[in-house]
Amino acid sequence: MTQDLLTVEELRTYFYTEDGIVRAVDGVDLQIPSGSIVGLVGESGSGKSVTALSIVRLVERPGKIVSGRVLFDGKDLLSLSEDEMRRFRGKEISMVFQDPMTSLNPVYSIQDQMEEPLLLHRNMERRQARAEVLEMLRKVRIADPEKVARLYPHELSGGMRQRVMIAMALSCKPKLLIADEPTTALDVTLEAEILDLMKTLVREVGASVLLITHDIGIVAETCDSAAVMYAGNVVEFADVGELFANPRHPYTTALLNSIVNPRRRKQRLAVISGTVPNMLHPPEGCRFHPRCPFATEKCAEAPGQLSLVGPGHSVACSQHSRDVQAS
Amino acid sequence: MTDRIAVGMLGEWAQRLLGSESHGLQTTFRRIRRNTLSVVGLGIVGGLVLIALIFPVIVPRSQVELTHLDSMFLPPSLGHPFGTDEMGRDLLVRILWGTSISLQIGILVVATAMGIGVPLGAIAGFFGGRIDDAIMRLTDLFLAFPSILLALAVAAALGPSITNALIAIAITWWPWYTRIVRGMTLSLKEEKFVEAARSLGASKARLIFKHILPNCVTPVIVNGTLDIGYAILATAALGFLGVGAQPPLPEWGLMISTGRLYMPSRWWVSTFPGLAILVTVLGFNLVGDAIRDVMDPRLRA
Repeated sequence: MTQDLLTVEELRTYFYTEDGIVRAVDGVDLQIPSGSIVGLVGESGSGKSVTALSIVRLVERPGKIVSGRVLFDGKDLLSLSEDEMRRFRGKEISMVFQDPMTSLNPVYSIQDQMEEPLLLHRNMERRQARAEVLEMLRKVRIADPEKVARLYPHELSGGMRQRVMIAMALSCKPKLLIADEPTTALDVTLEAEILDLMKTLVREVGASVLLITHDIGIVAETCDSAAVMYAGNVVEFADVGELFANPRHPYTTALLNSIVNPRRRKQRLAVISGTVPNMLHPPEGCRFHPRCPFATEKCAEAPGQLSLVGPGHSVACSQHSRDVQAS
Repeated sequence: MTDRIAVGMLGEWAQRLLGSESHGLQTTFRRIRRNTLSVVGLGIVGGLVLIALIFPVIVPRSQVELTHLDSMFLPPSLGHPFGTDEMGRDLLVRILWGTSISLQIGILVVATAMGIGVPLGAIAGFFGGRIDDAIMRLTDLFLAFPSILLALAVAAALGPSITNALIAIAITWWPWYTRIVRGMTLSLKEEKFVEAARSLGASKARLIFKHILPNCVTPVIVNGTLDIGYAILATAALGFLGVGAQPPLPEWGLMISTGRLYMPSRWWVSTFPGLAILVTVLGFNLVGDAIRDVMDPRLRA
């Protein structure tokens, strides 16, 4: 079995704030194989973005990666020096952020900004870089690349800016693209296009994607496998088909149930009772147990460990570990 | 690499002022022309720059410094539009010659103050913590010095000269730029595009100088332009006090000072240099305002 491209083991990132310690990422495990698109789904505040930032070590004070391993191509990224890490960023791993409005520097033209990673990582000459920029703009399906290249960010629409960001992120042919809610700020028609674009380009370059989103629909459309996060933990992980067919964790089931089915009229909207926990004082044991319809006393004592319940399918729920043990 | 960044930055700003695809040169000029005061300011400064460049070439220094004892204190007339001074030198010629001195000093003072203040401000704002504290305390220290007193001290130590005056003024001015840039850096470093650049592998130096600083340029340039006027004023003040320019240099402040003794009967000797200072400072103020209007939000679609 080939080694996964990225393996995250027991990652913990805490924020040491004045009000207390926020355990935003508290023991997260992830596996991303080569050439695959892995989704990371969860509500706001579940820790998905912090996980992504922790992987590339962009977490700033008061946040700190406390423990864990991030194995990329066999190397533990958390053990590298800042200089060594910087060489990874943009070249081996790159990111696309949520808001295209603010991800581009307003005082530089598109051309100049897109050239930067090329000049930095691929050691190109200016002229080579200019040509490559135009080629990249064409690849992300921007019409009239010569004109757009000379424009400034405020002269482009949101969709175009996001395409530029994707182009920049893929320009140095990274092995892993982390996309943090790349389409959340865009309207639905654009969303489909951008996701499709990402899929195509990523296959071309042979990269893997960690697609972070709160929208399960996107996961179904785009991802090969997905991890569901809740309050700082991964609660379920499976191939997408399996995840949708056989969700095991009560949270996953609840999430899937809350998707509105346009074909069923007069449907009462399913709701997950309760609210997302206060991350300063998360619940004891399994963090979902106060809202879980299947919770037992055991759930309040110890958190569920991610355990295999089927091929490539793991769940962090004490009920299901029992299932496996029973069988 | 620094030259590349500098040229790049200037190029960008030139492109913004001169126009990109959607904002042509015409739009910029139209905006300027709409405001008469800006035009006046530009005219004044443009004229001053021309004079400063051309005059010293046409008229050699000796002409300005030679004494003509037979034509002392001639009042303004056709032959001598501003009259002559106590050494018989034509005042108009001296004033025009002095333009180049004042402008050079003004620009050098501001350039030096910026050169020290801006990078310090960016470093303080970006790194925060103890580095920020250290730089800010240093800033407070220098802000506490009244420039004139410092200039007197420098003059006492190194001897009065226009170069020393330049140093004295620049030393007291850089803190203002540090404050401005630090404030902007503090907010800019939280911007998404800085995070995005970092995610693409930019080093801290690159983030500061290539991403954050260019976004700070607007207030720095506006303040800088206004400051050129005030720097000229400060130089004149020091010249007036005798610790800046020394005779026979045709520096305006110095000229006012020497002319003081002959007031009010030979009023022209002090008055015209004074008017020159007034017009110059006014010109730079107006241009500073014009630049602020052109560069800020209106240019953003």
